Amino acid sequence: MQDFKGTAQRITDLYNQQDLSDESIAQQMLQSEQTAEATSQWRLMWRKFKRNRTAVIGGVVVLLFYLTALFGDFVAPYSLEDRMTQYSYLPPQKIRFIADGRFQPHVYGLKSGRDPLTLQRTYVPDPEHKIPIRFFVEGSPYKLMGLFPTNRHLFGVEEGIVSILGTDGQGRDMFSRIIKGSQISLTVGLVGVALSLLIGAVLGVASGYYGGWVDNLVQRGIEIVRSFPPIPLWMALTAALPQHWPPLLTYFVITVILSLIGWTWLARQLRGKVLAIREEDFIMAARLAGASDRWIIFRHLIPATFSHIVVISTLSMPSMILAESSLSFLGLGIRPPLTSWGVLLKQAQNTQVLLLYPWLMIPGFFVAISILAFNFMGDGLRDAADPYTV
Amino acid sequence: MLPYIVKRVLGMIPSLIIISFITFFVIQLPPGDFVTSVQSQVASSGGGMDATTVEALRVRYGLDQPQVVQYWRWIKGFPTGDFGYSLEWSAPVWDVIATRMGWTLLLSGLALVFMWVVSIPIGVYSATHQYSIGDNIFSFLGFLGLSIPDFLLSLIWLVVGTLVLGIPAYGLFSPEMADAPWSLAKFLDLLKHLWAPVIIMGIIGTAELIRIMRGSLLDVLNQQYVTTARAKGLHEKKVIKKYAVRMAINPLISVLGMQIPKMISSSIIVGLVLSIPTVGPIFLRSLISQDMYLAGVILLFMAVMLLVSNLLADLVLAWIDPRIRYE
Amino acid sequence: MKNEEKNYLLTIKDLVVHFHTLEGIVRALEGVSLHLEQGKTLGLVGESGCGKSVTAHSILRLLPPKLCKIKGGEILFRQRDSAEPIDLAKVDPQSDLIRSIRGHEIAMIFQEPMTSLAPIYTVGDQIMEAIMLHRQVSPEQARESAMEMLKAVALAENVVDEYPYRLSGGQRQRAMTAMALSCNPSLLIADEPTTALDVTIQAQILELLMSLQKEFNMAILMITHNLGVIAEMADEVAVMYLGRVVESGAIEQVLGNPLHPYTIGLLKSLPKMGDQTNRRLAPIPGSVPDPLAKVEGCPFHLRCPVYKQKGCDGKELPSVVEPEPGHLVRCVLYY
Ligand SMILES: Nc1ncnc2c1ncn2[C@@H]1O[C@H](COP(=O)(O)OP(=O)(O)OP(=O)(O)O)[C@@H](O)[C@H]1O
Ligand SMILES: [Mg+2]
Repeated sequence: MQDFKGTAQRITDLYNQQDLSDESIAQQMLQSEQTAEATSQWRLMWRKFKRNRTAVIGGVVVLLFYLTALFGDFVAPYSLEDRMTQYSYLPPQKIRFIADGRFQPHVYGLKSGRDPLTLQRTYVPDPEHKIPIRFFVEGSPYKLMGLFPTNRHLFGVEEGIVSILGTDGQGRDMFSRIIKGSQISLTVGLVGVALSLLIGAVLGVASGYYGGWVDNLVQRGIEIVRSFPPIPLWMALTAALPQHWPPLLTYFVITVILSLIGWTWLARQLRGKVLAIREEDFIMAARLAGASDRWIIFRHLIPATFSHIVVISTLSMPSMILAESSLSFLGLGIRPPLTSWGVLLKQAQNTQVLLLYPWLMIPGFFVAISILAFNFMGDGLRDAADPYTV
Repeated sequence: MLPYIVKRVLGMIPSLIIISFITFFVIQLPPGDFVTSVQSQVASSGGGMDATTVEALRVRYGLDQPQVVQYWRWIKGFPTGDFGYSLEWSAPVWDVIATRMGWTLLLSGLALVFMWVVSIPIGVYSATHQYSIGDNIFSFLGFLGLSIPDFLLSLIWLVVGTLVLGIPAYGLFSPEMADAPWSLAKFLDLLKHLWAPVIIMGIIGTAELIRIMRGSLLDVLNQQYVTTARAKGLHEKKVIKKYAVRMAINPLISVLGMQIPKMISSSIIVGLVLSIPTVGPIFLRSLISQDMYLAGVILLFMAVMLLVSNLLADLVLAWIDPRIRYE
Repeated sequence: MKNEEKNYLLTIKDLVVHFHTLEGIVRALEGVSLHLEQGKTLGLVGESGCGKSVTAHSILRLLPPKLCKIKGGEILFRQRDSAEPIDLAKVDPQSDLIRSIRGHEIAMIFQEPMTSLAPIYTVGDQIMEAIMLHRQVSPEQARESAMEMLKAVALAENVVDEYPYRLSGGQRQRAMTAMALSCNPSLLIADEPTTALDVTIQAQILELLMSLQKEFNMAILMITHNLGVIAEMADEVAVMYLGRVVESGAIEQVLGNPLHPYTIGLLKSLPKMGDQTNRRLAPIPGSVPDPLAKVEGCPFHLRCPVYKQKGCDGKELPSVVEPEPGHLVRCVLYY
């Protein structure tokens, strides 16, 4: 009967012997945990992001879009203003891959005529006349990435025309114009977000960190900006840009106008994050240790909110792209000769034209796909950055 | 509740004043004024205007006065329903926009109803069947809905409706009905034209609301009080309806104020593409022709709509949530 | 176990519960056995994450059905007017049967008083709802008894029309208790009812529970990681570690004469009354393993001082032994 009590006593003694060494063990464990946490945050985020298939697909599409935009002149078979007036309003051509039993991408040559009733131009593909598509062909000269002069294009034809997405009323290749348009459409988003980020991050972090009247002022400002619905306000502001301004200036001013409203959302989001982080131990500790505000903001706050900044920027890309295309679509945005997806879509605004030449709305699908890709990617990033989801 | 309402309504007044200031400022921004834009129009059609005519026009429209005076002249008529004079239409602003406002409100209202009616059941389904096939399909559709711009949807509808389905996909009435007096037939004709723009305007919002509803309900379902309700022995359906959904709906109401501006923007674009007489098309025109009072009133009207809808959202929230009501 | 013939109100046998999360399987319960007599209190203690709440929620079948599966074992509960106990582990968690037991025969109080009442309905509404669900009474009568219950838990009658957010944590926990007891359950599960409250309020709530227990003659399953609370309230105690009961028995046996190394460590970490030396509390070194990891052999061996001194090999899962009558322990040292 007594022996189980003896065993219990032995265990108690063992515990007592351990007491001394405990403290150091605990300390060691704490330290190793902390360093592990700091280094693995990004890797953890990346691991989580990778697991999300739709987010990865979104990311790949975004990357592809930007690469295409970067090498736009190379990818596009024609330049922005190449007019092939004999091929105006040409419907998208079908690309065929097998010729004479072997792999040879080609398009059919075209016989054009006029519809006797409507007097519209019609095009009849001629199966006898196969025009091979060549790769790395010579075409109109350009400077690759604005630096290296060359005249090679990814693909093209030596006679006739290759126009996979059709042409517009002046015989300009839609595909080439869409590629070139992406340079504007996609950078408006990038520049606009960067500007909003600058304003939003400064004001958001400041109002979250300092609180008090700074916070009050910023919040009132945000409220006022937000009391206007964005698109009409954007319309009114962009309508005020003088017609005689050079297009490039208009482009920059438009991105500024877009970010004048876009920053509010960013600032709100960041303020919330900063408010949450401000109370956390390590900030408190730094403060108690007498660190200056600047030190805390740049060494602790910004790094700690960095993943959120990435997420928030990605998530605000779609609205920037959308705003630019909507404005340009309405004729208040980017002005020709600069071209964006919205500018291209403007010609589809005319109902009669659209119904006759429906392929003119194809640029809209590029807007949709880029927004979708950004949404998927941003969503995946958000989930990955959130420590509380698995 | 009443003091709360009074407080909120009074609190709107300073905002209104600031908004009207900013509106006037923005409308004034373009270099030149209406007369200059008339001048350039005349010039482009080969004519010319001498300096005295130009001055006379300026004086007539009060454009020669200092800005503050112009602002005051414009704003002082508002309480009596005088919203100024549209220079381009040569008619009081109100007469130009009244019916268009009506259509805009009707379309936005219907789109709002559509959004709620569709998104709540789907959101509830998705949250209660998290990660099921249905949930995944709805999530994907939601992303698609979020990503297709309204102008693209309108264009697609125009093409598909006209070329594929063979129905007139634009306007509010068929041509033969447009001028007919109101009748049942005309009303049915209107309905036939109305549903597509309403859905187009509502689709982005629907997608957003589904996501919010799903997320919010998932949150609420993890709350202790839902378990408490289950532990009482309540039927699962009742737990979901009376406790979970009822609480999860709050964020939906609070984003109401954010939905309205999107609806307004949408009504501009949808109106333009589908030739529907919303205020959108004339807003665009007035901006280009610098018909400043018209543009100003429309911009102001949109801002007020946003303000009022925010107020309504807050009141509804206060009404259903005692924590806000008694603050 | 010999005591099987006894008329226990609740008997849990080898309950195994797993969560199928995206990360993998969480083996929350790996074979929990306990029993509780009518009118008695059983204390369930253990570190955070050992499965106390999961055990409690399993009894009422409140665990998320898609995520969480009962893999084995029995939960035998004796209903009020039936001789044969029913096995709650086999009941459909959405069935009418389990719903007629919830709140009626088994009621539960939760850890977080701040969030356990819905903020949008008054306290009265929420209590009346429970009453009207299980008793055939008119709304007026329900309101009457709701007010009576509120009085019983020492709250003012007008709390009936208050919204929860206007009450303090202690008041909310009382209101919650009133709701739990409103249908006169034979078993009350209290999942850390006082952890979130400050010390004086804690004592009040515990006293309240004890007096109500006498008044209504109900059994209490008291979950806590506070051994002091157990010492004061419980008749029996079960100590859990990593989804298993490692030691159980009458309160004097387990607290006065702990056998399992884990229990001994747990008791050592308790500050002793009148201990002036200001000695650092000695928690058990190491921490609870990752819930996703499966620990082979003895669940405690990674932190056990005996194992570290090579006093045992920890390779196999010890079976339950009974060194003194009613005192069960799962450790090879007592074979
Ligand atoms: N919904 C869930 N999904 C996944 N795992 C869960 C879930 N609920 C509980 N678990 C896991 O089950 C194990 C036991 O949890 P339980 O809540 O029962 O612990 P506890 O003993 O009540 O702890 P505490 O004292 O903190 O309340 C934990 O490892 C936990 O991670
Ligand atoms: Mg618990």
